[in-house]
Amino acid sequence: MSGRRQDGRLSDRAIALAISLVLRVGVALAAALVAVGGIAYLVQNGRRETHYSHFASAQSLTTPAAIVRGALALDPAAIIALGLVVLVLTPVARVVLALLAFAEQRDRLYVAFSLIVLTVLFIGLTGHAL
Amino acid sequence: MDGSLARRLRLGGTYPGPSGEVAYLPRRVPLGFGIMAGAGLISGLLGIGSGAVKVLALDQAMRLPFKVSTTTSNFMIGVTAAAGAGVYLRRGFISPSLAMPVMLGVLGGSLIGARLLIGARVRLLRVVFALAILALGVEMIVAGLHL
Repeated sequence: MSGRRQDGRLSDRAIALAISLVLRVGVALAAALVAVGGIAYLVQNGRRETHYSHFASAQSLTTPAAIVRGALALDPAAIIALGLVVLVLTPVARVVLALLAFAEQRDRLYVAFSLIVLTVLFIGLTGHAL
Repeated sequence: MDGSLARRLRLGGTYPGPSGEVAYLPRRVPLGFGIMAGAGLISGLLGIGSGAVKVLALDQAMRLPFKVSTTTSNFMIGVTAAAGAGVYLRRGFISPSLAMPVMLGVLGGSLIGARLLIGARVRLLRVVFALAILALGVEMIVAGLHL
């Protein structure tokens, strides 16, 4: 299978395989970060009693910059949060990849759909209404 | 008339069945669209898996094959959930220590489930789906009424 259509453009199957690869790598990376951070978190806090009746939110980990800084400082909670960010960004990367693939296929309709989805994701993730 | 929108949007496809590729074309696309909008609203408000509602819309309203409904719903959830997750994350609504076991557990289960799906009988899947959505409903009623 060459991954190319008759007109020389990428086949749908080639695109599906590329998207599949992005999803697998993203989820594997996210799971590895969450697992490593989780083990470190349990080693540090495993003996402490927690009270979930009062929800303790992660007020210090609300921006990507703070999460990356915390993870670099090897704070277990920040490493878990970084894994969650990677998990959230994986489908975003997938939509970007789909957008590029549809553009390569000269598929205007689906380029437009991808742009709409990306716009909604951008608003949701950043809180900016463009 | 009914299938024309689905055709114009090129929503038809094929999936691997027990004896070769099976073609399908979704129906009632506008109805499906409306139910999906409701599903998104509900999951954003209540944090319940809109996946259940998505499967209902794809299966019952749009009449897709059940396994196509399952896999399509799963494929979409990452994207739709990401839109909401950003809002929660910014406001500090995500507790890393709680999210950690949830994420790893769900991931392990979904890896197994995706492999089981390929060979699973659709009848059995429908029964499991009905039981799951029933449990979800009971759980929500109990939680909602603080029983």
